[in-house]
Amino acid sequence: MQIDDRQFEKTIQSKLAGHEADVRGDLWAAIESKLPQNAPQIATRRVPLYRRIIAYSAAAAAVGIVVAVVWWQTPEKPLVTPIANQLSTEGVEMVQPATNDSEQPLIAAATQPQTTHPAPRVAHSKRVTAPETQSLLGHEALAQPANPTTPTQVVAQPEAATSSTAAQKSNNTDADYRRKLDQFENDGRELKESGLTADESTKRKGSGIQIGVMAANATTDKSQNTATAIRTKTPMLLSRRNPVYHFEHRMPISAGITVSKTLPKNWELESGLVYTYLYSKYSSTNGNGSQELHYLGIPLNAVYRFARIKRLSFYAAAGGQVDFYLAGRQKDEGYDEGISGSGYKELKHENVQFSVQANLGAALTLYKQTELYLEPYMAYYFENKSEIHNIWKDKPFNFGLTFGIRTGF
Amino acid sequence: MDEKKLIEACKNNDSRAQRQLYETFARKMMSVCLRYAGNRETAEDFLQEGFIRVFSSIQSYNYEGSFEGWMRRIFVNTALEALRRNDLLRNGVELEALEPQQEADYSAVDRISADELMELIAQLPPGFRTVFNMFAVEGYSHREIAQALHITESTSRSQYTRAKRLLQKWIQELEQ
Repeated sequence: MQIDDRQFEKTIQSKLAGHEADVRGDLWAAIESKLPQNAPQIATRRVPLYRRIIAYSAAAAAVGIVVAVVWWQTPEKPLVTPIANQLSTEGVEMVQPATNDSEQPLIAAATQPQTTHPAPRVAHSKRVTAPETQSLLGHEALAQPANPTTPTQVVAQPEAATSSTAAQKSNNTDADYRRKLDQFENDGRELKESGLTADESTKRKGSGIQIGVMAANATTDKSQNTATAIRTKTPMLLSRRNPVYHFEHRMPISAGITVSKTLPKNWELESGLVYTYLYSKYSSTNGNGSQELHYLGIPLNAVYRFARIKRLSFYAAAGGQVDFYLAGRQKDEGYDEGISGSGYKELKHENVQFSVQANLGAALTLYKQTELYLEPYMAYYFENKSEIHNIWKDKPFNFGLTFGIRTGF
Repeated sequence: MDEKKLIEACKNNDSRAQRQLYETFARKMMSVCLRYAGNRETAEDFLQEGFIRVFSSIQSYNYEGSFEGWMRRIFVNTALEALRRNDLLRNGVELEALEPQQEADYSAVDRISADELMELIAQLPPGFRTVFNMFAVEGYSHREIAQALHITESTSRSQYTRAKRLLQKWIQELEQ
């Protein structure tokens, strides 16, 4: 029987109208894993106020905790000696060295063997012995004395330099002379720190912290160092340091931004940039100190989301991370005999640190693709033959906990 | 739960409602996807992508027209986009060289089952299959098809005619 085109189409439509086809059983899981879960997507007015308050409070609390921990971990400013404090209140006139000369003379002074002999009873006087005086100041007001063997002779020499204008301004007493030298040394140290290290600390405190991820190692560690464990740019203190160190490591603090690419079958590939701050305290028979290290890491993790229950999702992840050393310094505190007080020492370049880690995570969807998450993890840090001791070297196998907020775009 | 409540729950991203909606319409939408995809694997990709779009844009459904029709358009558009992306719509067949012009007997389609018809449609070349689906099943005009597929109206008509002839030929072969 011939039918016209219209009838043909009606026949097709009626035949296929109620047609259904079998669907694979696990397809819903794949679809569900890609849905922005349990949060209204457009009509934000539908979100109850209390839920929004809870979500924002949780986010603010997480950021607040991070800020507090980072603030708590930030070391104090260099200690100022009592003499320097006293001088600052007295307003003593100072002869300021040129900024670019502030570091080199210090190193030069450190190389003078006679300046490194400990003399506990005249610790401050020793700073004003002639060789140091000349190299530190380079000023005729404090020119090298002819026979720099005793503090008394040191004081006598500036008195003789009456032709210098600066010398005329300086006091002739032993106490004034020492005081001036102490202040000068203190100022020189401050100049050095302001150029090399203090800025870092200030920047970290002052800048706003934008946190995508926060990680805290739940374990700390103590260790005894080897004799050649520490290298510094300014080995003045190292030369006299007792080489036996006992390290006590604080929790590593990490913060960063991660991005992830959704893959089929509930898989994701995650990477990003993670800053890590390591803080340790060390002690030796001669003195105590602290060590700060800064790293920037690039993680690469494969993530598998295996379950979703309402707003909660659970996942497992495994991968690796490479951490690049950014900066580090040590601060001795007050026990060196000839050079009391505190001083920062920049640490040299360290090798790249590789690690592998695995973790289990739980994420709570706050809003759209924004999640609050908690990840217990275990990580192994490979030996990188670095001479700097840190928690990764002393305790390569770590367990820890990561928590933070992440969002998708 | 009636359809309106189900839709409202889905608009609030209620995961149970989403699953219920999926279970209600998945088999029907799979049939749509199979007609355009030509094979099950590609159809499952269309189905997955289509449902994600449905849940992502369900806020824009304003209850004008049937919900199933609204969903069906999303799945058809999803399939068309994928076919365009893979440049499959240009793969036609020069039928004139293969078959002589003959009197069309479209009544044969009445004598085969829906599953048999689905299988035959799946065997059409992608370009023919797409035009055939859009015109004969979905009810689009040739002008709308031309705009959607970036072809001319005459091409749409021509491909539809050839698709019908090819189906007729296959149905007759099936009956023999």
